[in-house]
Amino acid sequence: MSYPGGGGGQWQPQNDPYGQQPQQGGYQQQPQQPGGYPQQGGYPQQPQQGGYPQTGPQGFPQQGFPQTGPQGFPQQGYGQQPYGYAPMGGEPPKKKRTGLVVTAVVAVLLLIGGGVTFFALKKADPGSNAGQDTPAVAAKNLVEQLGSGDVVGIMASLAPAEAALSKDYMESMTKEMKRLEILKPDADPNKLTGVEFKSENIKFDEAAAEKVNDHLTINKLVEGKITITSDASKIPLTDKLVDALGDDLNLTSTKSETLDITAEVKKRGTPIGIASIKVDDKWYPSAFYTIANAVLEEEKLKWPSQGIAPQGAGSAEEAAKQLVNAALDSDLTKVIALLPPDEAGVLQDLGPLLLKEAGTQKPTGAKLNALETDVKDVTGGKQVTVKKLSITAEGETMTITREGDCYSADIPGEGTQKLCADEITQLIQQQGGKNIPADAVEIIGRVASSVMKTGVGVVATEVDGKWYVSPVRSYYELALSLFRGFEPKDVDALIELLKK
Amino acid sequence: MGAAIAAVGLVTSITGTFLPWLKSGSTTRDSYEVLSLRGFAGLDGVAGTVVTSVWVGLTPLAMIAVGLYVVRFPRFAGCAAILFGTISGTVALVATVQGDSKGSLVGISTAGPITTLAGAVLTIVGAITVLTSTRRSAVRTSGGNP
Repeated sequence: MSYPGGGGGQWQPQNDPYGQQPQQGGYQQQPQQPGGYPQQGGYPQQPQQGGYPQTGPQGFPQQGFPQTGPQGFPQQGYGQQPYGYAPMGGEPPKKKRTGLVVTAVVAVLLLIGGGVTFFALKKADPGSNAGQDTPAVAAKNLVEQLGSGDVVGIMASLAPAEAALSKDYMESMTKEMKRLEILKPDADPNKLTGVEFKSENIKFDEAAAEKVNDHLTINKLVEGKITITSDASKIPLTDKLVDALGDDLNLTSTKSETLDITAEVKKRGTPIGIASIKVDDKWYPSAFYTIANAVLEEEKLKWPSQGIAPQGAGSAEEAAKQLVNAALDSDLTKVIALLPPDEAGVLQDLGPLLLKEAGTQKPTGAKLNALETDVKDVTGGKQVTVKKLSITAEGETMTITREGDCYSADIPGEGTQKLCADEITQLIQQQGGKNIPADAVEIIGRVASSVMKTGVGVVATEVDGKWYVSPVRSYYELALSLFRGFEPKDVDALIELLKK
Repeated sequence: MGAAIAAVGLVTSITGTFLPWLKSGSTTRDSYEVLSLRGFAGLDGVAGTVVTSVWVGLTPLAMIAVGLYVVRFPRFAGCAAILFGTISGTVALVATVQGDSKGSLVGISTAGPITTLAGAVLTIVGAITVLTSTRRSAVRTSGGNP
């Protein structure tokens, strides 16, 4: 290898301005070596300037060997320069800037990555879909979402307990509808096929909003239009059902209906109320409160200034027992207090009005002696079903006991009567005679049997560590128990019956 | 070349996560807005947190991959890019396949999933190219030049 010039030949720096002059002051320059390569391989060092000789063994790196200056004086320590140094006055070597570039690139990456991640995290925050800071915005969002057909947005922005109820019910019912071959297997409860919404110029009169109490505000909708377009052909019904209902169900045309809010408000003389409720310091639109407000407006009644405070029990079983006792005592206040404040808060807010409408109720006089229950988990809570119930009324005690899918009742004067699920069909045939078609008897028998096997009871939900009885979920579970008793062939039989 | 393809893939894929993934009526939501509905979809709790962390963590993972390449760790960069492509690609593929929602009020919007999927494929192809070229040069170095 040879640096520079190759071949170890003579090398004179051509462009060195100092190259043609003796070095001043005894400073000896080293030959400039491109890139700082040390000299190797026994090539003789070239005199640098004006042919001044260098001393030192040739062919070795020059480091450490004294050189003599042009006047023959020793160089006093200036004679050595590390290889790679530029000659004095020469062009300095370019510094590597790789580190700087890398640092800059990493900094930019951190900035971009951090920014994008922050933005993404903010969007992924469930709080962004939750309640709003004001009741007006909550109501406005609901109507806008309704107008754009944003079902997902509506479900996400509704009061949490109401949204959970709707979702649970829709999912359970869709599952049963698919099992019964009423809906196609790929039907999705969240897709809501066959219906479209569109809203125009929706306006609220914010100044007219009615603040009922600290957690309920009625917003006044005064202008706009909402158009609902339905297309039955897009409902995911099974082919057999479409064939059966073909004549009755118009599958070829779409139906469109427009709700002209402006005209409706003019006709009524009052704006349309959309209720917003406050849950954990955020405002949500509420379907239950909106319906209740519409009923109150219709009946020309006002919201009570104060509701009934919720009073939960320590367990699901205890809540069920307290409800039975309150019902037997005709204690409507206690019954309302035992309802979940999240799902049935509207009944508690309306409580005093409901009590007034119901009037004074006398206690039934019956006394609960014993209530034994079975508890099982269901969607959204626990289902409490009766295992043993003993009630004394007018001096007589009646006891109902459940063993598996059989029920036995001890009735004073009539002894013990027992009924099992598989005996229901036989009982219906005996009671109904030959008037009821055989298919119908079988279906009724199977459905009743399903209810007996599941057991009759209520669903309790937990809110803030206390247990309450949910009337809506109890009803859902009963409806689902009925549906579970049906089989796909029963739907076929019912269609045939309808055709006759 | 491989690095350039992977870089384009990473950018495309991340861009895709911000495009529409879900349509509900005339409203569309990107993948992060869909994640914000995890409670509504029954994905709250630990499962929801894990899913959100992994998905939101894709951008930092992409930046790590690029950063590793810049500081001359091409193999680690390639591995990070493949991990990125695999996660984003799998989710996008599932969403694309499930994306048939004609006539429904609510359904998957394919713009986001398809873009993310395309980006993921590019990322994986680029990363594999980087890994194989790095390996080839390593073999050449250890064997010596003729």
